Amino acid sequence: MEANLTQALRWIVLLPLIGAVLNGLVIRSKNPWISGGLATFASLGAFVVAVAALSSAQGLGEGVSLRDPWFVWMEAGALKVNFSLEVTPITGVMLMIITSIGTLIHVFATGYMSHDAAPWRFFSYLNLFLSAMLTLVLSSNLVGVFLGWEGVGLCSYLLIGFWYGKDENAAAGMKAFVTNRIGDLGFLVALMVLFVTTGTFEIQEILQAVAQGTVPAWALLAVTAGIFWAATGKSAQIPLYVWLPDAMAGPTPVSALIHAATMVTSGIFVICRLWPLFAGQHLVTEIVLWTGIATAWLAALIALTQRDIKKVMAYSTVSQLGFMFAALGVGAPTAALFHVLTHACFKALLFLGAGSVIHGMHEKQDMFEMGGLRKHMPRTHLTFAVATAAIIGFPLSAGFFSKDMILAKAFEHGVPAYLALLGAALLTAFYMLRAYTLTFWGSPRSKEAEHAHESTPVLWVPLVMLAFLSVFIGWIETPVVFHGPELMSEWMKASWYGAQMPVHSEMQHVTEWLLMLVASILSLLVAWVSFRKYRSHGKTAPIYTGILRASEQRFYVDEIYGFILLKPLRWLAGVYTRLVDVGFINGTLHVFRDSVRVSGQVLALFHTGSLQTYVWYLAIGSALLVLLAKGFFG
Amino acid sequence: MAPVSSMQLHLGLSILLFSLGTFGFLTRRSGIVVLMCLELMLNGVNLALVTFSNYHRNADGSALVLFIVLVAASEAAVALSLLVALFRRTGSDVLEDFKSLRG
Repeated sequence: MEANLTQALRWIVLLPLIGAVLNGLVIRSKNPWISGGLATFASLGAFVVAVAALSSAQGLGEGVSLRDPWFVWMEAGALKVNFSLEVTPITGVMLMIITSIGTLIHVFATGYMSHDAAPWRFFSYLNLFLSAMLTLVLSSNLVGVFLGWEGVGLCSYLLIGFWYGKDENAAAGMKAFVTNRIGDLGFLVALMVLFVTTGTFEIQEILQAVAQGTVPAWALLAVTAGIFWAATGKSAQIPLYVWLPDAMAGPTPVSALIHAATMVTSGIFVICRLWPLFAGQHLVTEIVLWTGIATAWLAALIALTQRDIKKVMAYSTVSQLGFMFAALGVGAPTAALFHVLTHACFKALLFLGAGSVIHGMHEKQDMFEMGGLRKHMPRTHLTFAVATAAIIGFPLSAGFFSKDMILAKAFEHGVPAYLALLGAALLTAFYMLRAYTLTFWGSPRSKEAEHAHESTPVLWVPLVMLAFLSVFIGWIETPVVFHGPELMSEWMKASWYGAQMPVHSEMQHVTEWLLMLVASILSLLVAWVSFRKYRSHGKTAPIYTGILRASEQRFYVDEIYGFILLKPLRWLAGVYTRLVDVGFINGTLHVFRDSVRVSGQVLALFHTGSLQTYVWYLAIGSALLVLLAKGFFG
Repeated sequence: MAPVSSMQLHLGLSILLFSLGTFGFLTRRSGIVVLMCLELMLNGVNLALVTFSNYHRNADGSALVLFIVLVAASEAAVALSLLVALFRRTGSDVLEDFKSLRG
C-alpha cells in the first residue's frame, strides 16, 4: 500500500474537525452562506478523500484492511493505545453513508438555517459531529470507537438543545445526554472486561483472540451484554429509546443526519464490527431479537396516532432501528447493516422532506393543519412519496430489498419472529401512508397550508439526490433468486479479518419468492387502506379513545419512568442534599468560616487606631523579648 | 563601692534620655511633643552607641550614629509635614483625634 494513501485516512477525520474549529472559533460568520459553505466543503472534502481511499485500496474485498497508524495516543505499562484508523469493507459502507448523506444534509442545512441568528455555531457543531462519527467508524481500536461514541453523544446534546432559549429544547438535550450515559456504562464495562481478558483494545487482535478461543465464556457474555446495553442507548431501543422522540426539538437537518441516518445506527454498526463476539452468544442474540421486535412494535404503535410530522418520523426511526436489531438477533448482521444503509437514505430524505414542509408551512408541524401540499410543493411531494415507497418496501425500492432480507432471515430463524416483524412492517405501511396522505393529499386544513410555498433549490436538490439513492441503492444486495449482485454479503464476510461466519442463506427459491410476495402484497394493501382512510380527512383532528388514546400519549412510558425511576432518584437526591451536602460539607465549612470570623473579631479589638497604643504593644513586646532572652521565664 | 567610671555615667545618661523619651512618647497627647520625645529616645540610643564605640576603640558605633542622625532628620521632616497637614485640615495636633485613620 502506498504511504500517501494510508495517510489520507486521517484527513477524513481532520477535515470536518478543521471546519468545526474554523467555524466555531475563528470565523464565526453570521452569514449562513459563508458558515454553511465552509462546513459543506469540509464535509465534501471528507467524502472525496473517502472515495479516493476506498477506490484505490487493493484487496479490500478480500479481507485486507486499509490502515493509518496515526500516532500513539497514550502509553502506560501494559496499556498502549494508538490513535490509528482503519477501513474494512463495512466501515467503508458507513464511511460512504456518513460523508455522502452528511454532505447533502449540509447543503440542505445551509438553506434551512439561513434565517438563524448564529449559523456558525450550528455548522461548527455539525462538522464536529461528522468528525466524531467518522472517528467512531474509522478507529481501529475500541478506545477510539468510544471517543467517537462519546463525541457524537456530545454533539447530539449540543444540537438538540441548539435553540436553548426554549426550556423544553434544553431539557430534551439533557434527556438525550443522560439516557445515553446510562447506556455508555455498558460500553465501559465491555472495554474493561476486554482489556482484562485479552490485554488489547485493537479490534483485529480482539477478534483473533476470540477466533482462537482464548477469551473465557463469562467475558464474552459480559462484553456482548455490555455492548448491547450501550447500543440500546445510542440506537434508541427499549428501554432507553425515550430520548429519541424528544430529540426532535433540534433543527430538522440534525434530526435527519444524527437522529435518523448516522448516530443512531452506530450501535448496530459496533455490533456488526464485533460480530464474531456475538455469533456464539445465543442468549444475548435472542434478547437482542426480542428487544428489537418489541421496540419495532411499540414505536410503530405510537407512530399510528402522533400528530406532529417529526414525531411520526422519530417513532418510525425507532421502529426501523428495532428491525435492524431484530436482524442482528436472528444472526444476520448483513441484513442489519444493509437496512442501516437503505434506511439512512430514505429516512434522511423523509426528515429533510418534513423539514422542507415545515419550512413551507412557517414552522407548523401538526399534520392535521396541513393537507393538499402536493400542489404547492410538487418537488417535496414527489421526493417524499419516493421515500415513503422505500420505507414501506414498495417492490424494487431500496427498503424492499433490505426489509425483505430481514424478513427472510427472520423466517429462517423461526416463524414467531417472522410474523412479529411482518406485523411491524404492516404497521409501518399504515402510519407512513397516514403521514404522507395527511400532509400532501386532500384539501388544505389551515391558512398556512393554503399559502405554502415550494422551497428553494438549495433545499430540494439534496432531496432529489437522496430520492435517487432511495430508489437504486437497494440493488447492491439482491435476493438469491434475482441472481443479481450480493455486494453487502461479500463486504460483510471480508470485514472480520478472516473469521468464518455463516452469513449465506440456503433457502428454497419457492419460499423466498413467496415471502417476498406476501410481504409486498400485504404492505401495499395496508398502504392503500390507509391512503383511502386519510385521503379526504376533515378539518378537525380526531379525538382518540381507548388503546389509541394510550398510543397518542406514547403509552405513558415517560410517565412510568418518571414514577418508577425519577421519583425515587429525586427523593434520594433530596436525602443526599440534606445529609451530605447541607449537613456534612456545609457544616464543616461553616466551622472553618466561624472560627475565622471569631478570631478576626477578637484581633480587631487590638486595632485601635491610636498610635500610642501600638507603641505600648511594641514596648511591652520588646520588654518580654528581653526577659525571654535573659531566661526570666525559666 | 567601686568608683563610678565615666562610661557608667555616659550610659546612665543614655538610659535616662531613652526612658524620658519613651515615657513622653507614651503619655503626651500633642503630636509635636510626641515627635520631640522620639528625638530624645533616638539621641539616648546615639549616646550609648558613641560610648561603646569609644570603649572598644572602634569607629563602627560612631558611624552608625551618623546614619541614625540622617534617618532621624528625614523622619522629622516627613512626620512634621504630616502633622502640619493634619493640623491644617482638623485644627488639632492631638494624636487621639486621628483614630479614624485606622480604616
